[in-house]
Amino acid sequence: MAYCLEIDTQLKNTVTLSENLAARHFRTVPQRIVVRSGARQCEARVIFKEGLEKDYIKLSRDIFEYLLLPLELPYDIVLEQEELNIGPVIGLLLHNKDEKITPERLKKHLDFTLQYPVINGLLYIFSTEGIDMKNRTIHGYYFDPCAKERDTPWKAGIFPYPHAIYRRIGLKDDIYQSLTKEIGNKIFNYPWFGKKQMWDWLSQFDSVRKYLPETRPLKTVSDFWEMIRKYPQVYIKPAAGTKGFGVIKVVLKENTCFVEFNKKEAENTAFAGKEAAEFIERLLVEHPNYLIQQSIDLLSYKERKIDFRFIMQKDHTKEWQCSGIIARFGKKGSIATNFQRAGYTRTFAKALKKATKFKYKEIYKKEQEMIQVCKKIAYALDKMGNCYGDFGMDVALDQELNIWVIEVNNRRHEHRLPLYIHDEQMYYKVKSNPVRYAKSLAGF
Amino acid sequence: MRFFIIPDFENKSTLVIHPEAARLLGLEKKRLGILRFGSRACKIEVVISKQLAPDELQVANKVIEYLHLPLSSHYEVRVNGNEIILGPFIGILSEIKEENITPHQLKVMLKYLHYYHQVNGAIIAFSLEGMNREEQLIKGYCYDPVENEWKAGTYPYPVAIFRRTAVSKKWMKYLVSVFGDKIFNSDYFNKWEMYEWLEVYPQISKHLPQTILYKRPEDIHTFLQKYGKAYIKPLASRMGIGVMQVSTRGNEYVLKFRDKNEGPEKGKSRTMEFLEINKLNGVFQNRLVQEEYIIQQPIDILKHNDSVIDFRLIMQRNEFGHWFFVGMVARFGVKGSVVSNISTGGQAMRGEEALQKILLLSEKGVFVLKDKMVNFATTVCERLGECGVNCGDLGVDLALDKEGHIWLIEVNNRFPDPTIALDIDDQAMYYAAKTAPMLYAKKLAGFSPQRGEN
Repeated sequence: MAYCLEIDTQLKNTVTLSENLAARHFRTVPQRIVVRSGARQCEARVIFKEGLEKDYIKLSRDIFEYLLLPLELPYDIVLEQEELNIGPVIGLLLHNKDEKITPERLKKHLDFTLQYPVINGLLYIFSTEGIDMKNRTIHGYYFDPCAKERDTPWKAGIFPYPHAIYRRIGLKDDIYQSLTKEIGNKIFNYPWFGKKQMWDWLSQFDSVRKYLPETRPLKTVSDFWEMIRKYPQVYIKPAAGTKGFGVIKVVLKENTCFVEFNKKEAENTAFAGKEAAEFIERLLVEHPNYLIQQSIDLLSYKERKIDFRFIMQKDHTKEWQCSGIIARFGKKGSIATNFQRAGYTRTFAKALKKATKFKYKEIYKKEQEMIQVCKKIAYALDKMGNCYGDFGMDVALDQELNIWVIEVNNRRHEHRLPLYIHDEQMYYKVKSNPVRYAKSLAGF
Repeated sequence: MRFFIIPDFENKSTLVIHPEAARLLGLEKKRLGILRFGSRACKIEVVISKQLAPDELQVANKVIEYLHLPLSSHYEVRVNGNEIILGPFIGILSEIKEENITPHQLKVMLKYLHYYHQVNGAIIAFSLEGMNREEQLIKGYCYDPVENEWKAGTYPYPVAIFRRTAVSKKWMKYLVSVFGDKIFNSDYFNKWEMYEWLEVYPQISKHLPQTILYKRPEDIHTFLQKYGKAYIKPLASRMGIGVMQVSTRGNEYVLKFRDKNEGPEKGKSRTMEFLEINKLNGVFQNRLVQEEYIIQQPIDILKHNDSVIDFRLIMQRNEFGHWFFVGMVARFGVKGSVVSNISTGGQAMRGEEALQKILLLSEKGVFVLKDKMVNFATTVCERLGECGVNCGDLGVDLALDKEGHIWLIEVNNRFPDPTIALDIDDQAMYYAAKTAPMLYAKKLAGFSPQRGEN
């Protein structure tokens, strides 16, 4: 139920509520109440007005100005005995610098607002630069749903710290501390994690460990030998890499290590015994932060390896849901599934139709099974960090159709992937879901 | 975590459990306990041993026999004080008479369990006749996930009941006395009840066409004067049966309805014209029964090539009890017909596609409007829950008028038909719709997923 705020120019330090609101929300009628917008709050006298049919909230000008809320927006309220919470106030931290919030980018960011009719309140975009830690305010751009078509619906302003923040960029510890001191653990995703941290954390859960390829830091040559003896194929990859950069595959066959490079096929080579050890040593010097990972014999179709991006997000129920799946076919004969280079994408059903003999009934069953695994992993990761709500999981099937979760992209996973399979509805869902989660995280 | 039961023929009253499983379930220090399966429970001694696998539970055969525990099921375990509960234990009440649970019926019900691995536990299909009220035992069929078939047997009363058949008031009273609020779908409501219950909610009332309960022909004339047209619908009809439309044209009254006489004309649209009000009232008095019909405000429903269009939103509750949207199907009525049901020869299309084609919306426009419809339908379902309806699935029928305003036409609570998804060849929607009741039943049985547990 959305409310319009009204301003009282006569009174000071006062909130006027219609009596029907009071009757619904208060056990005993309070004299004073805390009024809150995002992390900003102040105490005020509360008085009641009789004989009004409509619900009604009027703030004296001093209170209104303190709260830093734009007047013309529809607001939800949470009215409790001691507190009137007006909101939701949601911040989208999308850039590092104010200059990056360009008109073109703002236009694109409108995709975040598509569910605004059920969000209401103050939804604003800001950059790290816009945070004023001293005054505990943020400079940014808020969404005005009533803006005329030719005007930009994003309007600049100074706002309170929000109830909840969805961030797509890095955040320094001190800024994070300053924000959470005011708003609590309501910034997602936080903290970001790498491949190794994820393995260390998740491998202690029996229920999910079996879906993860074994991963360990590559620190010594014996790390390499242990892994390659345990698994006849391994991947060596940067701990912080994405999109398949720097990935090396090593296959052990009859005492010879066959080494394949992603994107640099010309350098593919083979080593035996001592040579292999030398190769690894060289690698260790150049790349001290490499990981070594059990390789999965991926399901493939006409020599193209297939993997799947599962977009896992929380929505207004605060539970993990699968917002969409995109199947990716890698380059012919390539060790990775980077479809951008000579690969392609398909829907989940089409991919499985091609690569297996499954009927639709079995395809949807597999799909559900994979979603369940992704949910298990997401809930287990919830226990590691402070707050998560938006993951892009790389999931694969091996030749026996066992499920493997290769990676959980938790930083800034590509929201536009659904557009590659021409599913605009999925794309809009992926874009707007985090804002709905932010609303329930905000307590509304 | 999911467990397999292994019978133990040596001991009389033991439950043997792997130390790892005992740790996860918090049973490390437990020496004595009560093993519960549905309405039966039994004292046991807890033995922790590495002799079995972490996902095995070894149960004394005597205990298995007493609990009537099916061995082929995969169980989850919840611990509540000293009770160690095996489940979820769900009953599907599918028939009144035992003989009506035919092999064909059983085969149809396998569809509910297509995603069994998400549900687990013992799922039994049974009839009222199969219930032994003295012993609290049920003769029925238990789902075997390995063979993917039903096995006949005798079981205790389950914890939650998914009801697929209408039962007498007397039986319902009994079921409620045993299962309380753990039986769904618990209540049916008719069109008038739905209107009365929902119109008090401000977010919903503006989406309800004005409706009154029919008492006398004058009631219809009040609507005719106000709107120039009125719909007359039987309280509990389905699929548009018995719907009439009356309107004025000059000094004439025009009555449209579907022929219900047997014969080749059955179901065809018919039109009658009246010059005299008395003759029209005569028809009403003849056909309509007091308080068994509603009169409804006409809405200028969106049309496409002279067919009215409405939207069926399939709404279901998930394993946490939250309502969620499964899919949307647009239904086009027969040209000039008063209702838009597929059963009367209309056509179906994916909801999103229909919005795009008929309203000429962009993909973004479709998303926004669909989202509005889904959110509204969710509100309707949640409010009905507040009113006291315990439902696992509802079919919410919405229509749009020419201004794009959403109207709530009807909420279908008598087993909304998932095959509507097949009308638009959407297999994924069909399986999702079919399997969702078991997830909600799992929640009711006390086995909502434990987030992030091992």
